[in-house]
Amino acid sequence: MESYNAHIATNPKVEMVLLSRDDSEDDATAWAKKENMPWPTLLMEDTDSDFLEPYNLRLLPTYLLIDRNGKQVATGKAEVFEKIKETAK
Amino acid sequence: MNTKILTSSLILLLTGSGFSRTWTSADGAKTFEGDFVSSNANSVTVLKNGRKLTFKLEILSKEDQDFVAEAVKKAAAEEADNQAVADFKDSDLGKFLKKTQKFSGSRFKKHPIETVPEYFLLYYSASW
Repeated sequence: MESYNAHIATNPKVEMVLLSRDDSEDDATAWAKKENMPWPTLLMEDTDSDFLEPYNLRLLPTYLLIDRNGKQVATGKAEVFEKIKETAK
Repeated sequence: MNTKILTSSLILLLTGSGFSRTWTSADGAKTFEGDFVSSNANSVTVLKNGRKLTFKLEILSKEDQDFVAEAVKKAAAEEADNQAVADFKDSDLGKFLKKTQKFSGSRFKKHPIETVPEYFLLYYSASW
């Protein structure tokens, strides 16, 4: 949340979307409520897994930065936020 | 993503409210009050006393011409943004993100992507 507030919340060049891997909407809702999540979420039931296949997402959590065309730009928290910081310059 | 090219003679339609101003002739001798309505490359249409009047830009003051140029620029930018959003929604990524929701109050509510940033951070995670 700290990283989000520092580098994304007021950065018009980046939008964060949670791809929820919770099996039930109730679990996802409880988590969102607990963390007071300000970012958009795509629930598991609404996720097209075929679209995600090329990105090879396996571990949780994974941070993936893509451009508006879907091209992968950075992966891993450190690399992703380093790139995001560059966008704010 | 392809962005459509705007035509050279962009015609803007703006409602009268909020664009009322004093217009001045190029020589400064005459002024009148009117609402900016629309513009193209060479002329501007103004609503004056309930009537639409069209003037060639060249007979208006430089300040007025600059105002119109700025309005054209803003409208073009808005048109480009709207087109970018429309193009994005048709893209694979746009379709993938079509069903995003945002937590509000006590539940998730539909939250379609309405602006298109340069980047998306996809945070792949779970509560457990």
